[in-house]
Formats: sequence, C-alpha cells, structure tokens
Amino acid sequence: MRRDWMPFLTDFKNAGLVGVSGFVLSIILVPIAASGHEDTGRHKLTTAGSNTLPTLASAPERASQGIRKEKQSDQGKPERKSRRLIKKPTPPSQPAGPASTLPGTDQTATAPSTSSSKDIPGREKSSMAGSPSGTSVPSMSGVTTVAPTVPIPAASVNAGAAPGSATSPMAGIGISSGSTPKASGRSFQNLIQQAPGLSQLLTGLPPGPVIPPEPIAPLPPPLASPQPGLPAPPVNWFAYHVLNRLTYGGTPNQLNLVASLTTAAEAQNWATAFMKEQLELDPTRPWPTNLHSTSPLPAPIPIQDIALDIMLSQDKVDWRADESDSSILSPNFSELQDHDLIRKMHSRRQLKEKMVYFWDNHFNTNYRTHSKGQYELQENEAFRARAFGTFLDLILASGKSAAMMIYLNTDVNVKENPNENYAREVLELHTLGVNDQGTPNGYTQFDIVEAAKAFTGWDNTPDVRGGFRFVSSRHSPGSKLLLGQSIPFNGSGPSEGEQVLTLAARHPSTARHLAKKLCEYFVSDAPSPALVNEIASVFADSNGDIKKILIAIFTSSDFMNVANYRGQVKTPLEYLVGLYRNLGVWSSRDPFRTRLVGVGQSIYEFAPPTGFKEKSIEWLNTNVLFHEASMAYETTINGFGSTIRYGSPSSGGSIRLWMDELKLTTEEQILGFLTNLAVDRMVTATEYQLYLSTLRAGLGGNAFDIKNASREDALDRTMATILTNPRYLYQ
Amino acid sequence: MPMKPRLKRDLPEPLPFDRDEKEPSCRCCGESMEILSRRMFLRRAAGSAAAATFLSLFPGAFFPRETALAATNAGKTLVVVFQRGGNDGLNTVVPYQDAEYYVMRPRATNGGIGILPPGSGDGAGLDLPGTGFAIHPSIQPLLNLYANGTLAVVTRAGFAGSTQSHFTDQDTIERGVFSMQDGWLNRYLQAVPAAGSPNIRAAGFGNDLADSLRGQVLVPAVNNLRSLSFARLNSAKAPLEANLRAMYAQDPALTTTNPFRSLVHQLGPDMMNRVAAIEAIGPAAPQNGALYPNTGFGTQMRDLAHVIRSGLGLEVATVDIGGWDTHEDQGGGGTFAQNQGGRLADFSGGIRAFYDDLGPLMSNVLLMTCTEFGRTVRQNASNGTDHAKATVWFLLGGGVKGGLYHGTAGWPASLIPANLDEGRYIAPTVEFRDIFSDVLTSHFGATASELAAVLPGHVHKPVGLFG
Repeated sequence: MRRDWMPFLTDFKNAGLVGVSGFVLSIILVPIAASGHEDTGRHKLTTAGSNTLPTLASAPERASQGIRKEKQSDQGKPERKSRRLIKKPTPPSQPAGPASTLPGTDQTATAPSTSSSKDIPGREKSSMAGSPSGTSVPSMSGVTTVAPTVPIPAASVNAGAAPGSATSPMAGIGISSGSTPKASGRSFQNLIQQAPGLSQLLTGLPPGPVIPPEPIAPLPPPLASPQPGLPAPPVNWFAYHVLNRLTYGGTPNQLNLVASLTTAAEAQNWATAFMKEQLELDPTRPWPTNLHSTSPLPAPIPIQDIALDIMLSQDKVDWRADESDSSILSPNFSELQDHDLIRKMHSRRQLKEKMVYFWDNHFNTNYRTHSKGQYELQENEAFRARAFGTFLDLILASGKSAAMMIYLNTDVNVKENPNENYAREVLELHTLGVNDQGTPNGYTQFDIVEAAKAFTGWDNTPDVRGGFRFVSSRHSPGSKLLLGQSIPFNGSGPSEGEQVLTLAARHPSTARHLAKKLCEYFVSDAPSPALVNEIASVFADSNGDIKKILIAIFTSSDFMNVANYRGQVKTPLEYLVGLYRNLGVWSSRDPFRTRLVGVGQSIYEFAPPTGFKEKSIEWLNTNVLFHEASMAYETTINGFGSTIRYGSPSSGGSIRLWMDELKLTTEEQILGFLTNLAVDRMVTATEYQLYLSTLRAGLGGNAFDIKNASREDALDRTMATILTNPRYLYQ
Repeated sequence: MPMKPRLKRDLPEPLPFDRDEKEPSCRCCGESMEILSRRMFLRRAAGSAAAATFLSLFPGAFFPRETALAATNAGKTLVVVFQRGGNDGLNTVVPYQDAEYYVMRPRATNGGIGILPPGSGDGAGLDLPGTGFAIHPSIQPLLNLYANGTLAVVTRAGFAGSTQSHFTDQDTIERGVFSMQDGWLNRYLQAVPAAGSPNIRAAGFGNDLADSLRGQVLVPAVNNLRSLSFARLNSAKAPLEANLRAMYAQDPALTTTNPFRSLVHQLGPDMMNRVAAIEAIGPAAPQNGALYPNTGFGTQMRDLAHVIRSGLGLEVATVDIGGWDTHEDQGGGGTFAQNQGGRLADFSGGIRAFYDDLGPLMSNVLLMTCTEFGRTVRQNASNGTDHAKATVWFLLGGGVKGGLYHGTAGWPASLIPANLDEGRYIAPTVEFRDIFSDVLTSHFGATASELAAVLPGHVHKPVGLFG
C-alpha cells in the first residue's frame, strides 16, 4: 500500500552519485526524523529512507514502524507495487520524437530543447525555466524523461547557499522573525550552508535566482481554553487566509510558520511575500502597478521544486507505452489521476497548481472519450506552462489539444456537415458565457454555426502523439461572420478558427465571465460587483494577462476583507489534497483517489463540458459530507482505511510518537499544534472540552502522559475529531 | 445547471490496489439473492441493535414534515431517471414506416445510423404492433412492459423555448420553471406533507444531488449503499459519532461566520441520520430473479429498489444516467450499435431489473425518464446527431396507462424538412410540465393548490397518462 520511493534512490546510484547520496541520506535521516516538522521536501527524502531502507532507519524509526504494523496487514492483501522495490533504472531518454506538435504552437516549429528530452514548447517562457530541466518534466511529445540528475530535494538546496546570495533579491524573504529551527545544528539546510558549493556540486546547476524553501518554523504555542462564544479570527488570520486560498492547504511547517506570526502586520508581510513568491514575483519589490496595460511584468522568478520533479519522474516508472506507438508513455486512468494528485499534494508551486486545475476545469475534457493518458497529460502540461500567461494563449492551447478536439468533436467537424459541439461550448462556456437567466452574453445560434464552419479542418495528427494539423480539404469555403466581424477565408491554415478564438477571447463578455469565475474561485461565492468590474477591466486592459488579473484579485480590498476569511466551502478535491498537505501525509494516496470518485469529483473524467462546479453550495450534500468525514477517518483511525500515514516519517505514522518527537507533552501543547493544522487554532469552548476529553479518555484521575501507549487511540480520535469539525470544511 | 457526472464504473470503495482500468461489464450482479420480504426486514431491523440504537438516538430526527393525515401519497414512490446529454428519441422509438426517416438517417447497413425495420435481421428494430413504430433493439428489456400495458411512451416530450443548451434546458426541466431557485421535486416535498413518518422521504442516487431535488428541504445524495457506513470505525465509532454530533449540535452562529454555516449544521446531523438508517437496512438483495447490469446505473437502481422495499418511506428519488450526447458514432442497432446502443442497453436493463425486483410493489412505484432534448433528425457527418428539441420520455408502473403518446398534434406524417421545426427538429407537442402535472395529480393525488405551488403559473393540460 505504501508508496515506495526506492527507485528514487536507485537513480542516485545511476547518476553516479551513490557516495554522495548515501552520505547525504545518512546524515539527513536522523536529524530530520528527530525534528519532525520539516517542509514537504524533506518529508519526501526521509520517506524514502524509512520506507525502503530499513538499514538506514534510525532506531526510533524502526520501533515506530512496528506500532502500526497491524495497519499494514489489515487489508490482507499483498503489498501493492512491490515491484517498486526492484531496482529499475529510469528509462533512458528515447530518441527524440517528431517535431513537437503541441497545442497552441506552430506545428512546424521544433520546440527548443535544452536537454535530451523534448521540452514542452512554451516552457522556456514558463516559470519552470529555472528548475533543473533534466528532471521529470512530463514530455509533451511522449518522449520519456531523462533520469533525475539532482539527488537533493528542493527543500535542501537553498539559494542562500549560492554565491552572491547576499545580493540576491531573495535574501531575507520568507519569514522575517528569525525563527530558529529546532534541529538547526543538524538540519540539511544547515549542512548546505556550512558547505558552500555543495548544492552546486550535487546538482550541477548554476545558481539562478529562485524562490528558496521556507525556513523551519518553531512550534505553535500551547492552546488555552477559550472564552465561550464565537471565536474571533486570529490576529494573523490573513496569513492563514492566503494559505487557504492560494494553496491547497498549508503544510505542517507552513502552518507552524504562520502560527509564529504574532501581529497583524507580521502576518500581512509574510502573506504578501508569500503571494508574490507564488506569483513568481520578487517578494522584496512592491506590487507591479501596470495592471491596466499590456506592458510586460518582470521576468518570473521560479519556485524551486526539485523534490517534486524527482517524485513525478519516479511516478512514471510504471507507465506503459502506448499500444500503437512504443515510444510514447501512456499513463492509464488511475496513473493519470495519481500523477496529478501527487503534484497537487507536494508541489511548492501551489498557486500554479490551483490555476492549472482552474484551466483544466474551465476547458474541461474527458479521458473516457479518447482513453489516451498522454492527451490529458499533454493538455494539463500546456495549461501549466501557460497558467500565468494570457487567456488567448490558454484557449488556443485548449482548442488545439487532442483531448479537446476529440471531446468536443472538432476532429469530425467537416465542411459537408459542420459539428457545432465545440463552437457552442467555446461561446457558452469558455468565453462569452450566458447570464443568470441562461441567455447568451452577446452571441447567437448564427455565431455558433459560423464558428463551427471556421473550425472545420482542425484535426489531430493521425498518430497518437496528440499533434495538431489542419486539413484543408475539410475546410468550409467562404468567409465567416462572427460576432459581427468578418473572418476572411483561409483554406491553407487554421487561422479562421484562431480568429474565432481571438475575437471571443477579446470580447467584453469574456472579460466579465472570466473575471467573475476567478473571483468566485479565489475570493467569494458572491463577489461584489465592484470587484468583478475591476477585475474584468484588468482582463480587458491587459489583453487577458492572467498574472495581472491574479495580482489585482489578491491585492483587492475584497480579498483582504476578513469577512471572506474561511468564507468558502472546500470542493472535495480541495478537501482531499488539503488533508494531505495539512497533515504531511507521506504514504499512499490511493484510497483517497477512490473517495474522490465516490464523492463525485473524479478528475479527468467529468463528462459535462461545464467542468466541476466551484461554488460552495454545489458541494454541500450528505454524500460529500459522508465521504469527507470518511477521508478524515481513513487518515486517522486504525481499521477505517488504515493505510494513510502522516506526520513525521520517523514516527512511522504514529501520531503519539510524532508528538513525543516534537516534545509536545501536555494536552495544551498538543492541542495548540493539532488545531493549528486544521482550523487555524480557532476553537470554541465546547470544542476545546471535547478535544480535551477525547485526549484524556480512559485516564480517570491519572495524569496525561505522551509516553503511555494508551494515548495512541486517544490521539487518533482527537485528530479525527478536529478534522471532522465542520469548520474544517471551510476555506 | 450542468449535467451530472456520469458514473463510469461502479467503484465500491476501497479499492486501493486497483490500478487497472475497469470498464463496465454486463455480467449480472453478484449480490446474494437472499429473499428478504419487507415484513421480514422490518422484524429483523426492529430487532437489530443498529436499528434500536438508531431509533432511540434520533427519534423524530427525520420527520420535520410529519403529519397525522394520510394523503393519497401514502406508500407511493416516484423515481425520476434523468438521461443527461439529450437522448436521441428518434432512434429510441423509430418511425420505420416513414421512408423519409431513412433519407435523414441511412440504414446502418448502408453506413448510416438508421435502425432497420423490424424483421430485417441484425440491427432491426422491435415492432410495436400496429403503431408504425419500432423500438431500438437495445431496449428489448422494455418490450414486454410495453406489451403488457405498463409502459407509456411519450414520443414528442419537450417544451417551447428550448435553448438546445444542455445546461439551461436541464435547468428548465429540473426546476420546472426556469426562474425558480428550487427543483420541482423539492418544491413538491415542501408543498405536500409526507404521509406517515418516513426515515428517508427523498434521496438522490448518485454522487451529486440532482437539481430537481435541491432546495429548502434537505435531501440526501446516496452514492453506493454498501460504502455509506461508518461501521469500520469499530470501537471508535460510538465516541467519534458522539463527538461529531456534539460539534454539529453547537449553534452555528457561535462557531463561525461562514455564510453556509446553517446549512452545514443541518446537513451534518442529517448525513449521520441517513447513514445510520442505511447501515440498518443492510446490503441490497434483489428478488424475483432480477438481473441488474453491473454498472453504476444498474447498482443505483438495485440500491434504490432495496431502499423502497425496506420501508424507509422513500417517496421521491432521482437517478442519473449519462452518455447521451451522441454527436459522433451514435451507431445503429444490433452489431451496428455504438455509443447510443450501449447506453440504451444499460438504461433499459437497469429499469427492467428494477421492475422485476420490485414485482407487485410496482403498483405503487412510478418510474419516469427525462432527458433535456432530442437530436437533429438528419444525422451529421460524424455518424452522430446534434442538439434538437422533442424527444422520448418513458413512464412505467404506478397507475400509468401504457401506449404511445404523440400529443394532440400527432406524429408528423413524414419527416420531410417542411414538417420539422426550423426544418431540423421534431417540435415538442407534449409539454413536460403537463407530464409532471399528470404525475403529481394522479400518482400523488396533489390538489390544485399543491400543483400550483410546485409549478407556479402553469396551466395543466392533462396528457391522460393515467387510466
């Protein structure tokens, strides 16, 4: 059941780094195991050790693994994926495929490539430019990726270690309170700092401007019994709010960090820097002010995320080749979902992932219409490369993607009998939209018919690579008339359809439609008309520059209004990924993928072109509440799912050992920590007593003792209770 | 409102080891065929610890609209199956004697999607004698029901003002009146009191609650009966459920400022009550040799029959079945079947098994199928059909009078464009609100004022669906 990252280690050896990686691992395992509240990147590394290298595991770690042994055997089924334990070198890079024919790119152009794998077109302008290009970027043209050459998780490679860090614009970002890591003398980050150049030695990368990981935060203070009545938002609410909205949920370390911000001003500063980092902006500079224009923003400063890159590349080792083309890796449906969930759960580029989901959902497609994992993956990658780009670029990528052309029948839209499916949904859902009464916002059936004609001739390449081509013999003759504008006939290329998308993307109704949808996503289910107007005007004035639109949203007074704090309801996907992130889950995610299907948000196979609804009311029903409570129980209660482990890997999934490791020994300390993971330490007097009595259940008059194994169940149930608090449904 | 997600697979959870594709297969379900009569169930349930706990913990928890007066809705159930995506009525109930039909849709043997006339071998329709119509061979399970007079077929159902958008047309049908917020079935639950004290008066089967059931009255969504249980919490079940109830029992205004707090604090206990009720009735046990397709739809119909038989007082239920948006590769019948044929087989197989399973109980159970629109008379170049207007709705069981219902205008003499709406569509002649009104008045005995509350502003022109 557990996810094994053995191949991850194997690759280090393949990369000729066995000595170094062994050295690194043996150093890192113990201190990290002891500190237990590192950021995600470190969790991954220690996971690798604790899961697959028992000889490297520290003694307490081995002991803790025994604690939940019965959990592992509950299912009575063989260890899943034991094949992962077999040494399996990462597939060597394949000969380059045909020139990339990616959505939205000139089909005759060859994508610039800086590595032996085909990079995704547009990637050079994407935020990932600064990340190690040799690692794990899913190859859009289906070429397998090269082995990771970077054995160190992102968390460990701090830009601060790079020469010139003193003058780096990044210096001093992150937390400003100078928190001292508990295990500072032994942390890997510290090790790197003590050995300048080590990261470069290991990575072979030139030191570039990147957003480094956040520092290790101190633990939150104990939680005292609150006063009766409605709990007030914490003074640092805005920092929690930013984590709630811009990410799928804070990691334990991020949440600890936020808890350490003791004034509103500190929280504001931290949150502002965090938002800028997530937008790939220099956090030391003021917000850009050219939002109502087409002038460019500063070049993006990428967020380093090597650990994720490695994890994703490892996730692909089981993927099989497409049945009709052995050079193309074709994930099956569960692999496709898993891959995306890993990314959402572990990526440091959280806002980007939230936007990728937004676009993937806005331009919904359904795997079941083509059954090619690579098509969905390719489209997902195209959205990632353009997540902060322009709307026109996004819709062109969508419209020309194999997944969309099959899903909405563009590939069978021919001059003899145009198929209106894509044309209709582009206008109704992707661009102009309909109003609350269902009336089209400025288009008619005539426009649909004309647009369908303009798209005739668009098609997939005959192979299974998902390339775009234009078939002139299928193209409808004559000029077309769309939204009152004439589109001249062009029988030799896809320009008519592109013009349809351009006219639709530039239409004022589209600016409004997208502005409203984005405000609903990030701010409130009922955004104020003033906010929507403002965002729509940024959309229009910037020609749909998504990053400018996001800046405008995040700096709006509505977003910063405490009335919107925890004012939305999570979608099941947000609940699931958030649960993983909040608790630092490091084991299998598979049972949860099944829950996601049961709850009705099975990504990549939603049939209606609307995509999943985002508004709170759409996800408030008994089925969703049941499955979400079940997810919480599966994470925490032995026997109810029983395969999920969280906390520090070195405590083996035992929350009691985790608390013990962190030296959280009193009830107040434990509740201070646990409520911070889930509900921003907001607790009513009733809840406090409930948590306390659950924590102390069965103790009678005896004192609480974290060393007492009887507290195992009590802590499980306390965590389960905190997670099933209705307040945890809100974001 | 969107179409509801299509359940591609029946995925009882957890299936943590399953990494392989599981496509629906049509083997019959493997559930035990244990016979459990309603009376036996009640006896058993009453004696079970779960039921006793359940009843003692939550007396009256489900019965906000309890009334002493038995109305004519006593013991009645309405099941609404929604075919999301717009089922092509013309290939479901086929006017095979109209030569123009084969002009618009060449025979499958000639590469088109036309359903062959009855008796012409592979892919031939099944004759509805004396009507000039045949049904798609994939809905063969419904043929006997037509023959025995329990299946009514409305061939031109729809409404004037269809936008041919899935979403607005589904909204119109599910709300009954587009401008209303609540679904028409929810308004029914508001307007007509329950007879007796139902545990679960209404339920949406599926991951998601159908819009027709959304509104002021809380209605549970039920995905899969087997998975809807906290039993595996074992010794933690009682303390955790008590904690959960205690948290939900707080005054929501004193816990959060979230605007959905009141709803959430109603839904939480409601969820727990429904789960307890469902835990108490145990797994489905189909009777009378009913064979459900092993699909999401089949499983939901099976669970639905189980809930109806178990005496929880289910009065209104919805089930969704997707996959009808056949813009391409719609296919014909028999070995020519493609997208539509597969969906029709699942659809008709699930309905027939439901009918068989409930047996005599069907006299109190009315099943109605809806779909937002039909499809263009002329097939498109992708061997599919595009969005159009009128289409086929079915009604089965209850007091329904079987037969074909074309509406007062009858069926077009020929499908030549001149006889079609905008030259492309079959125009609706039976307004869907009239079907709803027939159901409300005849099946549930709704009064004129109750009818007006459910479908305000609508003047009922009876279709005459009930004997």
